[in-house]
Amino acid sequence: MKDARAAFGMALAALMAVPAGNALASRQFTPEAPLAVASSADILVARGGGGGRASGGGRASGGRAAAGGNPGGGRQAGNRSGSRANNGFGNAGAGLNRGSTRPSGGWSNQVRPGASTDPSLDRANRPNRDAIGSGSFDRNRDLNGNRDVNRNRDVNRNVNRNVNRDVNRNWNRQVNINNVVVRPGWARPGWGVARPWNYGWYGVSTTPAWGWWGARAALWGVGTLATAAIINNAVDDAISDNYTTIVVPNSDYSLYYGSIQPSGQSVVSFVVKADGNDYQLSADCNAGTINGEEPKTAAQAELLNAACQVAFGST
Amino acid sequence: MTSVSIPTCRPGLLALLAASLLGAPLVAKSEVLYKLNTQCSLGAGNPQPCQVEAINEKGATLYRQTIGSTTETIRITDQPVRMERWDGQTKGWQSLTSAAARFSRNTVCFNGRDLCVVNPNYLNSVVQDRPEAMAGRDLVQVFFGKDGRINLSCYDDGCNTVAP
Repeated sequence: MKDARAAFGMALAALMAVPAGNALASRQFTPEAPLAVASSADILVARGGGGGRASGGGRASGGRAAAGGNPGGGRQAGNRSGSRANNGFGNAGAGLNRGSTRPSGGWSNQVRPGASTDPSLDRANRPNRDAIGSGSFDRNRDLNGNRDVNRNRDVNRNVNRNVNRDVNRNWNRQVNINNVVVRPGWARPGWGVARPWNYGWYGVSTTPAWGWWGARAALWGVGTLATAAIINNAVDDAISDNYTTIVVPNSDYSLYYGSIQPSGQSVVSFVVKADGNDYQLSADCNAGTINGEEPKTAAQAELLNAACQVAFGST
Repeated sequence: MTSVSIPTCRPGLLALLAASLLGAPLVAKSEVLYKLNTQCSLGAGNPQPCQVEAINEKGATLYRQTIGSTTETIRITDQPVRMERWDGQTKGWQSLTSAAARFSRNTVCFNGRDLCVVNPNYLNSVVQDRPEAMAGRDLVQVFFGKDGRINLSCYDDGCNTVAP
């Protein structure tokens, strides 16, 4: 029995010695010491995978042009908790950490100076929700609750008839949303500044600069698209409510705003839910195209506008 | 039969070579994660342009803030999380008393508001590392004990309760 106790004690001592050694090993650097820079940031691999149960497209919001989707959806990082026991303290970690894991979207090298970029621990003021878009044509349309109810009925009818009314023929890349990062690091409070790419140039003009806009808008009987404030507010609401999608104003589309990923100065890829399926699309915000084609409906123009605003608009 | 001549070295040169080989592992192998041009403040003062250099090395990440002629270096280690500030006078690392992040302002502050930095990169990484824990959070604060380990964490309104 004594031998068994001694062996247990030795094993325990050996286990305790391991982290102590690691802790010592981590204390080598001083600011004055020379740095041997190994390589660029891309050594660290972004956490991929995971993410997002399908949203079912928008909550019954009584016509608010706001976030849709499901609360708590879009877990990511490959079900990291899958192999862990649920002990109730899973989220009781340190709160802050090293911050060295490369987020999807990468690292930014420039914070654009502006009113919202002064260092502060005070909560950022959000614009008055009621004041946003007041008097705007689009806002009034969004506030029509009856229209939203009808829209939901239309969606169901489309599913039953298996008619993809809202999907273009060239939207041919369906995705499993569980394999898409829908909660990137930048999709959080302060997302406007947190976007790790060049932003702020889209939507400067009140009317889109797309060459096709004038004639098409007249044909559709649409004066303007949803304002930046409406879309920004929808994203703010979605983040606040822990939703992974926003309802694209004046459409049946739900945009996974966190899936937005620029692939150039004006091109952005994103995932949209349409008629019950999730599609990976690419938009050129300068040319005004989705998957290389001009929008065929006002709703598609709204989708294009929403994706471009979240990606490149000012906040 | 061809004769092969073995190069000869002077003893001093050999010693230098041996010293450099032996010395190589002593230099910490590091990796610059990013350099960020942003805004900082010192002592709750006015915002100033600054540059953040994030450097990864084994077991720690260093954040070197250059604000005008002042350089402030913060070292953060994991497992357990520790945060320390380089003290140029004592030439040593001093544990922080607290750190806080306000996501909606993209700001992280150290030791109260002694040093505040707009660093969305850091916050993006923190959020993406623990999406479930950070979802819906705006303010996160951690406090450090005398041993340098976190002895208190709080979120949002909870920080009003624990504020010293």
